[in-house]
Amino acid sequence: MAGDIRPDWWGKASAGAILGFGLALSLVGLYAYLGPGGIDAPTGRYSLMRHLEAFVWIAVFGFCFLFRSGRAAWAWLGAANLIAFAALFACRFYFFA
Amino acid sequence: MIRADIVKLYKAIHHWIGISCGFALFIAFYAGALTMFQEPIARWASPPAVGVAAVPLDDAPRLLELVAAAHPEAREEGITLHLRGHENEPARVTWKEDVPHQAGQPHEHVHWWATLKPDGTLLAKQEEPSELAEFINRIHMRVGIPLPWGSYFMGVISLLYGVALIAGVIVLLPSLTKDFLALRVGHNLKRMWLDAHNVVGITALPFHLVIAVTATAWGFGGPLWSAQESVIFGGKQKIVMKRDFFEHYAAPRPTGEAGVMMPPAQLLLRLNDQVPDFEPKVMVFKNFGDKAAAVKFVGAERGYVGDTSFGGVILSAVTGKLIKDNIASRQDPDRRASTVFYALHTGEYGGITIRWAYFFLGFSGAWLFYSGNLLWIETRRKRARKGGEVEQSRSTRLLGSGTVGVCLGCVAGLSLTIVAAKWLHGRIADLNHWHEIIYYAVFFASIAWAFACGAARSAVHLLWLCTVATIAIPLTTLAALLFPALGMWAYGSAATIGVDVVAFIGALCFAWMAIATARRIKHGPADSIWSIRKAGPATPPHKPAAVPAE
Amino acid sequence: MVTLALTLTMLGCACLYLASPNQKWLSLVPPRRPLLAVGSLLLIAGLASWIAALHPLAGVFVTLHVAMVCLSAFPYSAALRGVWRRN
Repeated sequence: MAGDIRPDWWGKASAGAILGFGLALSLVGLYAYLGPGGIDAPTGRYSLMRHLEAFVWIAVFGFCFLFRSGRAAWAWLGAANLIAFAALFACRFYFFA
Repeated sequence: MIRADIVKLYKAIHHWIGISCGFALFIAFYAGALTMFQEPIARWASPPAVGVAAVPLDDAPRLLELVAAAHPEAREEGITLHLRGHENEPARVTWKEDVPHQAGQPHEHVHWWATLKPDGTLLAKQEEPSELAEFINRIHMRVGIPLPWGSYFMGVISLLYGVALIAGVIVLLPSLTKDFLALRVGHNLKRMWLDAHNVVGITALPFHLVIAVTATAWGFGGPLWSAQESVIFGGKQKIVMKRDFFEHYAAPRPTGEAGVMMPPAQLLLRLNDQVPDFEPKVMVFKNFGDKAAAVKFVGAERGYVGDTSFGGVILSAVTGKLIKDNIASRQDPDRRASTVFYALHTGEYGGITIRWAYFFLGFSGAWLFYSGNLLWIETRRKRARKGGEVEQSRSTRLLGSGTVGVCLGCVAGLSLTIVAAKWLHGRIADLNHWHEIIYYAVFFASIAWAFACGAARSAVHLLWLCTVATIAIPLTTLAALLFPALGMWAYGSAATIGVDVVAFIGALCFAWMAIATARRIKHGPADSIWSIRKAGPATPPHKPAAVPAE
Repeated sequence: MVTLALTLTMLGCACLYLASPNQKWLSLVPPRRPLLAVGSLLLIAGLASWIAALHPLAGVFVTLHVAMVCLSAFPYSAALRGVWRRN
């Protein structure tokens, strides 16, 4: 297994930048719906969310190079995005519509 | 424990982000360190004025009434009553006036101040305050690129900077415990630069992580806001913002009925009764003379993280009763958390201790990027010697020149533009515009000089330029004291003297660096871009990466 | 209170630095464990005084940042002294 990791700069970096942002937005969106106070929480949440988004984005971007290849990064992060966005939109359009 | 190929991968990431973003980050950190003393710099740069003390607080009611009568438009905008007597507060009372925006106009509003003449009549004057401190802050936030692109640019830079921090820690993990706090000075220059880089990077890591996260959030602030609105909230955010946020900060609407205003001194007592720990900096009167007139105290509660300028208490200016507030002790948890993030970036807590700590951490951050670039150059130099390749030295040479030009150009430019605040005041029409011209002229000239002369020579020249520009700050104050005919000023307050003292010490440091660099380029190893000697026969045969002009 | 807190925090960091195997202040190797213990105690005392002077959260962050400054400055002070002596 050792030595199996491929650089795949563009594949991984694009996954980190694009899917990392998607994951940040959807996860923080879930916090907005499911966190304390729910979607009607006071407005302080909006500015807090930007910091949380930046944090998740940086973390995903930073660690996505640990995936074995660019394709693996896109596959795993894409799946995570799908699940997170599905949950977010379920909250937005169904549970808290 | 950590695989060698992963370390190698992250080393490459760390290097490339460092090289591509290092310049912008150096400027942001150096200017950011200066913004820690934004207020003292603003006080240092503000020309002498009537001052707050000209009108005692007990006479303030009369002054406010005269202003409200003579300038009715100021009542809606808000009349600011200053309480501290700092040099950058031109008079007891100031206000802004909206002007119809025209293309090419630097402001959308003009500034006024007002005081009482000895005979008790009103003296009001329109005068633009020095924007030097704001200019330094703009350089810090957007390295001088206009909105909104400068903001997006720094967002990208900050995001990559966060990634580089993660990468750097991963690279360092294998040797972290062994080399923690080590700084080995010796003949192995690569070792020394690596240690110097790592010590700062690892010990200040929490600071850098917070800065990276908050700077990314702010750089992409607008786009993130829109994304939240359209993806998460579906239009709800705007409505709630209008309902909550603006209500929170806005003063009540005027009724149109006249009311009797409570004097400021009494309002201060009422504030102290109702919010005991609050320390106001200024009072802003909204709708002065109206029955629904309100006074907003801008300031902070002692001891909280985030004693920012956002904190405020609104009292009725008629009865002195608390209308609403936005103070740390009564914020909702989310607002509190977001204020904490904000303050951890701007250092708005813990008073003067944190200002100094952030000042040093900001410099250490700038040093991190400077030393990172030098380290890259030093590493490439070793490789060039082993492989005997020639074309590699070109990239190290260019990076060396760029590092020297951008970093030292920024330092010298900021120092000179600070100095200009005193020398050019009253001699030219638009000083705030000249601050920009001077900074950019020095900045770009330094870069050009660095590329023209090569890193080694220009480093010495530009370090001396930094020394001269920075020592000019206290010398200007001295000149103002000794030759009053020059029309400059010198204040006696601790804050403004502090600016001079810090600049003096900074200039000494630059001079020391200039001397050390001069010695190095003469006597240091010749097969380096930091040398003006040609590599002699003793050194391996490769192109001396010294000076392109030779 | 602030002066006391600052002194305690800085002294604590100095002890921690001396406890590091890479310290360059002293040529002899000082005993590690007692220094670590004293350093930690001083830091805790510093933290307590910061919290007493400010609010808990602010106290924690001030201690953290002062410690960061000290721990990055001490190695440099030792290195600069070394350079000074050699010249």
